[in-house]
Amino acid sequence: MIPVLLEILQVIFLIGVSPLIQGIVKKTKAFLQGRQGPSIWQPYYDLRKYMNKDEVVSVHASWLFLITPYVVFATTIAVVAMLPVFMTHTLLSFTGQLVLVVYLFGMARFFTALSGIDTGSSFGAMGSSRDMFVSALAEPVLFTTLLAVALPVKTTNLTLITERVVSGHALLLSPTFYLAFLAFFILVITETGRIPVDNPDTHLELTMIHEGMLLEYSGKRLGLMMWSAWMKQALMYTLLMDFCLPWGISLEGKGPMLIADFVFVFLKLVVMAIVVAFVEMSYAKIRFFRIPRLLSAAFALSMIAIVTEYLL
Amino acid sequence: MSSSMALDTAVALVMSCILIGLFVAVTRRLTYIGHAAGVVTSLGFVFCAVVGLFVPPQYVSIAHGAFALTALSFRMNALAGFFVLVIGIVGLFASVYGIGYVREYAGRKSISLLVSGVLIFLGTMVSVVLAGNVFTFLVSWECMSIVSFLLVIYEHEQHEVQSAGFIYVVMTHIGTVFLTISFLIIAHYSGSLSFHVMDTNHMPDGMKTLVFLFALIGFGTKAGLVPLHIWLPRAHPVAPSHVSALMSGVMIKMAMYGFILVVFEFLRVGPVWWGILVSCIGAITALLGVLHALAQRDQKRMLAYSSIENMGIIFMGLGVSLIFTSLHAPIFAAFSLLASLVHALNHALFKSLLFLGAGAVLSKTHTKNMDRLGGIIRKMPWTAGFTLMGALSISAMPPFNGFVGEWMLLQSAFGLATSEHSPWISVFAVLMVGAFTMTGALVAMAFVRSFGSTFLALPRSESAQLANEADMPMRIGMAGLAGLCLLTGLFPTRWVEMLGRPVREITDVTLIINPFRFGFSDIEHANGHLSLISVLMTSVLALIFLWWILRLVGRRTSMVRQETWACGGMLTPLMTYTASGYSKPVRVAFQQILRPSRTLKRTEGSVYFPSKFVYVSKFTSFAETYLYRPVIQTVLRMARIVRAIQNGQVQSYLAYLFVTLIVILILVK
Repeated sequence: MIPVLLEILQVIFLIGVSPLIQGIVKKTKAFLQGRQGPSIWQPYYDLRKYMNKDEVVSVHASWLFLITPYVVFATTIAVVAMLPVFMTHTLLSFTGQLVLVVYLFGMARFFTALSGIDTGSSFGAMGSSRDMFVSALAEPVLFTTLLAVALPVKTTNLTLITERVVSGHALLLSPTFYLAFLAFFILVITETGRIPVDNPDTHLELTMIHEGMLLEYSGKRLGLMMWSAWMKQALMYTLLMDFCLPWGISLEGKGPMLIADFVFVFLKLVVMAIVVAFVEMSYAKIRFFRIPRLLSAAFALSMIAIVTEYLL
Repeated sequence: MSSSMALDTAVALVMSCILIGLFVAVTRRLTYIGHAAGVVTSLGFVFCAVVGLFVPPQYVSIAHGAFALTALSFRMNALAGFFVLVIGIVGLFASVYGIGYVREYAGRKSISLLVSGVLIFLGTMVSVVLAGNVFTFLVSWECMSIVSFLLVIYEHEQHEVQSAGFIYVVMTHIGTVFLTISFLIIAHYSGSLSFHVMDTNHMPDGMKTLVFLFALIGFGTKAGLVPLHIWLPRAHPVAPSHVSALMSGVMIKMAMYGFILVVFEFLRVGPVWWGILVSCIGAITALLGVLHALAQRDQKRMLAYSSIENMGIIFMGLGVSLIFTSLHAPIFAAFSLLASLVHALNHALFKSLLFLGAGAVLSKTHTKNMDRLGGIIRKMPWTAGFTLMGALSISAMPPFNGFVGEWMLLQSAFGLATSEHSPWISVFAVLMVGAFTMTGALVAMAFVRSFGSTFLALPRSESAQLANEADMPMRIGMAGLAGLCLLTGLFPTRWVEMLGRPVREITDVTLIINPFRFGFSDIEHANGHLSLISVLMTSVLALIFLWWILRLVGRRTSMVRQETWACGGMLTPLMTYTASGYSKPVRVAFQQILRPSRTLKRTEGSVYFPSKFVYVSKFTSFAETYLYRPVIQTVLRMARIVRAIQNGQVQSYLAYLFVTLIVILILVK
């Protein structure tokens, strides 16, 4: 009984902590810009506000627009239920496939992109077109990077990958992991829609990708979309840490060490958020048609990672 | 029921398809008999196929011709059973759909000819698969090509249709030449034309390679592999939509059947480069197919390009299987072959569904141009729902069937990457995974684009505004396929187990499938378990929980409908994003491949105050510019040279004859 409860706790932890991660990124960015910035708890206040607000929905929107936030939220939670956070065993360990994770993100993106077109707004459709394009370039990189880690441990099951990475620390010293880490970091930036690929804060319609598709949402549905995006951000951080920085993930999932592991993983997430904010502040947003170059650099890194793995 | 009865029934059904088809065509009446025959024989095919899949193979020779070489003979085994199953399922729903769809042509064209054509087409396809010797195979293959050609040029008044039909008939015959040669070489070395005694053990390696290459070209033409694909995007879209569904969903799978027959069953093991070549061609086909799909405005043409892409993926899987066979890894070879078969069945289901959906839109709006559609989700909610399910399946979104097939294909590529044969094979496998996933993401973009610009936003033309829901038979046809797409995704185990039979027949490997969690015990290190139903249940539970929490802590909110924000103005249909606009980033980023060109010409008004423009944007096909045009030009140049000796005078021709005679006499002596 206790393992299942812990697994559920793991899911609730990531769902609950994801707005805080967003808050920390925002606070750090504000600090670096010399502003005071909103409190790190602001995303929680936002969520409460969204959930209690009445909605304005476009007259042109169909049922697809109305169900999308629920589909996106549900698929994101399905990914949360597969991903090891502070212990390797998860609620859906038996089906926790790498491929499934990527395609579930794809499912959420598919529906978001359709809802962007649905209202007839050009901004939504523009964001949708750009998001699908960037994802088409990012997907092969994501897969090769994940494979760079999954190949030496010979499995595509997330729990097993994490278990084997945690127990075989020797792997972490090989150049494969450094290169895969770099490629992965570029992907985390891309997938979470941060500078230099996308700008999550801008209100200039022409620069936005992900925010463009959410433009017509309001109230509860906007809240769900935002929360899903924050969850995805926390998920990408966790995935990176599971694969490349696996210290402190509990193998047994019991005992007093579990609490220490829990705290350690939480601290890692916070540090990751601060690092991402630093990276975001040190770059300017690049032109849209420069993104392929950035991603091909990441692809090259991951391919080199794989080649070194076979040659060394 | 024994397998011989299944075979007899199937052959009888083929005969009745052809006879009833001819009867309907000749009498030009009684179309309803044709409709009924289509539905009943398809059901019969499904039944025979299931029996054929489960019982030991049977072989029968039914009619002897004047010469020993021309005996018609048929056989039923698990591989044939699988393909008959594909034909039967798609044929069934396409026939039901056809009852409603042919009303479109009432008064304009002869409906009975169309109905009989579809019926004969179904019959000839089954006869290709059941063929038991070279003669029967080639005759059925030709009949299938010719009947499909006639169906393609059904609306032959249009110029576009004529040229499409012409290119199709030329390309398909080039393909037939190659595969005739490859069959005859095998027959020569095994001393028989019958498939069940084909024996390539005594064949020299050079001949094997030749047979392999010719089979690849011959069947690759039918499958639409790049660069032999140029007929497919022309011919498939111009046919009536349920025929397009049959051609894209089923007919190109006949090429896959033929390829498996020749390479996996007859040649068995080849050098590693065979597999590498096939998977490279598959990868290039997949990527180019989807990039071209993204550039199309014509909805059915875009679907045709997507069929090319899917055949590419299937051939990637077959190639990986060949590599495993050459590396003596029989279990993985069997697994990759199974993955290809699963994807072939899935593609048959969702591609037919998408073609039927496009046909429904076409019949109600009379346009295939996605830039002129839009907003019809409110007018055609059922069609929109089914098409969305098809789009989700083809984009491999869980929990639909497309995901199961792609997951298996990725697992087999992953298996190749972790097989410790040679580092280069592993790196090659990773590159394949890269190409595969990029294709996958572009497919998702292509279908967001096509669904979005057809069904969502505002109607961009009057015909889109006046659309209404498709007729009942059409809806039933689409509903059946959509239901199968979802069911085979959620509960894949039984289906995949069934498809394991032909794989066992070819490779002698039985893959053990874990019945509770979809997974394969033999593919141990991949730990491939997949349970989409539990993922779905987790998501649904999470949603219920969320709803409960929101009810507990939140207040009831209301919803107001307002106009979409359009920077202060009124939103007009012209302001909405079109399909062309949507794929602009792809066109720009891949301009080296797609080579888009545009011309803007002023037709009215002065230079400074133009009042009317003509804007043309088009793509130059890579294959046509760099492969076909030079070949055609060379042929024409040769013809021009040869023409010099043709002066039209009888005397000179007599002189040629005389000279030839003398030369022959000297040579013979």
